[in-house]
Amino acid sequence: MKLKTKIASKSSKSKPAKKSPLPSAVCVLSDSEASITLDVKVEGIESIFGAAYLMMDKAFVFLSGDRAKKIVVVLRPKDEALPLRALADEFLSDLESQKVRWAVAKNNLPVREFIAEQAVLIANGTIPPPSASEAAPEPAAEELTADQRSEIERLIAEVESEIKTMNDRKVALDPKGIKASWEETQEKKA
Amino acid sequence: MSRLTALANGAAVETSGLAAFNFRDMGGWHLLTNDWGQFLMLSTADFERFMAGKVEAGDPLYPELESRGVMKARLDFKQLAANYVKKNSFQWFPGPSLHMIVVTLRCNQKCQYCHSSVVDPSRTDTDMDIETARKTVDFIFSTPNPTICIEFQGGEPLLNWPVVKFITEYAQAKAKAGNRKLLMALVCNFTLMTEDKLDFLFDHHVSICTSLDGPAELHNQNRPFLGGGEAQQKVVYWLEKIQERCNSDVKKKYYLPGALMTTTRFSMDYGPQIVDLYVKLGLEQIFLRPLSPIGYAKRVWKDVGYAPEEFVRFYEETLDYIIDLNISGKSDIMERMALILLTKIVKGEDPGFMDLRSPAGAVLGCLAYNYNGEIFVSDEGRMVDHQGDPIFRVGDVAKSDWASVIDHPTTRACVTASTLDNQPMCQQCAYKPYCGAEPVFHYETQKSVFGQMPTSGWCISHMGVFDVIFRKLRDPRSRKVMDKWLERDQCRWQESGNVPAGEPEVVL
Amino acid sequence: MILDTDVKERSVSFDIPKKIYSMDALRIAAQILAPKVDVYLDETKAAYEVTLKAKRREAGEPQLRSLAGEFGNELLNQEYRFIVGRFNAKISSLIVTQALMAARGGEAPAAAPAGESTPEFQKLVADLVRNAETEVARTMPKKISDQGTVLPPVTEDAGV
Repeated sequence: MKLKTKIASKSSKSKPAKKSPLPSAVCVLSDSEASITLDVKVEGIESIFGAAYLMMDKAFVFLSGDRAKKIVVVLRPKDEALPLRALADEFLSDLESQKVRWAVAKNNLPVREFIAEQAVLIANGTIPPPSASEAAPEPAAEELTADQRSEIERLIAEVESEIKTMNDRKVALDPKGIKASWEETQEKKA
Repeated sequence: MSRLTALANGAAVETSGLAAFNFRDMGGWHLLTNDWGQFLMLSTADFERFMAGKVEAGDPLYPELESRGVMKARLDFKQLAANYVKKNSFQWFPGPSLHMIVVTLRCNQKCQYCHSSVVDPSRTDTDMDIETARKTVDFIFSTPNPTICIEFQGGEPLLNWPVVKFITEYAQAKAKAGNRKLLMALVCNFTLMTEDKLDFLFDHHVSICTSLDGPAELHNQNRPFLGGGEAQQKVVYWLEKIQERCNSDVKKKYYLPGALMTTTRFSMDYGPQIVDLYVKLGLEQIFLRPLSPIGYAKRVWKDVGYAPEEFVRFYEETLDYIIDLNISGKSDIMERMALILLTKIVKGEDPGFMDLRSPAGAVLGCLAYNYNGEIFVSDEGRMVDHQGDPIFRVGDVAKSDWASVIDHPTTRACVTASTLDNQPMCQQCAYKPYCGAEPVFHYETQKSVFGQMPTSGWCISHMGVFDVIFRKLRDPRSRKVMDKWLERDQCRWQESGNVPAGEPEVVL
Repeated sequence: MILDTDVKERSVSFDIPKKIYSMDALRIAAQILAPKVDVYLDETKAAYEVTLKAKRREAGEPQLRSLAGEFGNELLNQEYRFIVGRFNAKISSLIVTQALMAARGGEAPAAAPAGESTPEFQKLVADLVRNAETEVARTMPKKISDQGTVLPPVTEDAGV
């Protein structure tokens, strides 16, 4: 699954924020159910499952399709008085938030894992806890020590390597980029 | 939107510079938190600017974002790791410190919601005998934590007074011989208290706690005597009596009795009156606790229970009343649940509350011992067993050693299920750093130790309480009151001082 | 979603696509709903064919559809839990392992302290046991009033 965000480099300037792309959803309302068809490559499997999961207090949720391609999310309200349109809109809104939450989570997983490991080492006495002087505010980027700089670069390199591996795998399966979305094509051109 | 809340429709987002955090729309402002316990309150406009990547160095907001661990390129890894260690210190504890011993199932009351599933006072076959009591204490002292807290529960523990005395004296002898720190506490209904018993408890430094649900008409409805009759008068009498003795002797002031209330459907209209009673009796704290549909309470839920949203409403209204009393100077009574959450949120420390830990305190922090020597992950687990399901039984004092209890599959299941990184909704929740998922509650209500958080009553009520607390933290007047509570709670711990190893110690 | 209900048989049938849900999730969902339904399973190449038979006699069409919905929700609950569990596996394993190892306190149980093997200690314990047993025999099973101990005479503001 391709990560759509890039890791910031030291010298990155702020880029214009991306507006959330229109969802790839196709929504069909019947008498008793709302069916939303989603492109997994656009929305992300975790985001689709996450948004569907969050609907469980209000609806019975059923998924069909193929995790690699398209998923149809069927929502049947538990309370028949709940309008289907509102249910579908809520799902789509949560889907957009899930995409952001999962993007942030994936971008930061190596850092969270690293800090969790550091916590174990501090608690077990293997490395000392930060002293009062170490707890001073972080220096500006240009004032980083060589160790701090290399640590950040190592983490960034690790994540970028993961992204590259995923991209290479995708290119191997689709060398002509036939399955790439319009947005991905524009990114490559840029 | 879902209970996790969502971004505004069409919100512009640039995720590349964002560190790991969870967010929550609080209505007009946003809360951000991270795994390491830091939190940040932003106006919605600032939140949207931040999410869009429009806050750069030089922006007035930048230093605050930087200091709260939400800017990816500005993280102090070691400090965040140290924060995590401090906040989750219990993950490194060498075994449970709290041991709840049910010395009898007999009781002389018939509380409407009784978890303990008590039996008639004539049923002495449900008393813990001396041999089992001895083996229970031996097992407790075989667990590795250097600090041990033994809490007597029941039924009504005073109905098996000889065993309460035996365990107290035997445990204190073992603590002295083995240089262990020992605290002892008794939870009883006060209706069977006598001066002699009180003398023993004082002499042996056993702290005392009772149940006081509120004014007479409420307490007596919730907690009548077995054959009918009004019990509240006796609770109040002994509370005042014990306070009088404590206040007359400076050495006894740490033994001031505590009281706990249980919120039933009948309590919902009595919030201020319950608080007024606690104030009148000079009690320092009130703990607004929800009733859990576990064990016997599950059977009678339609009579005594309520929706989790109803509890949250009751909690907020009653907490407002308590805070107003503090602001006006009429009382400085504290609310215990708020204090627990504030200790986690503001001080970044673990307050020792088993249910709100990741992983939960089941086995790792506490064990429950039934009258017959069976060992359970918690007292709630014991109540499930009493209804016929032994799933939370992890050993027996006559046959098990500590290794077999900690290695038990049920122990591992409870630990795994209550680690919030394994919970789909919790891992994205802004309250994750401060919350917990109780496996027994979810097993009883949703048939799985993992549960199903979108529909979990536990999640709904705790999320609601967290919403209340964070809104209060944003209000300067309430914040001032809460800071004072934290200061007082800190002072109480400091006042107790250090006690020589092996000597009995105070339970606070 | 197509639900095939049979009110007479108290059953509802539906297909679970294999490209979405796993057998593990299916098994757990079946276990969780076991108090309410018996679960029957068949399969094709593309799907598991699930039939739920309600245990309650009074299961009509709406109840059967609701049971199917609950089952579907539990499937989703488990499947998404697997996704999240795999994602956070390293961190959660670290936490769980650390907590269990710390609580275990070491491989071998600590030896009983030397202070407990002294004759004085043994005598103290023997005395405690004897005294307790004597008191149990003396005080139990005396009938105790369920109203508890008698209080001093009632004063004006008794009960608040």
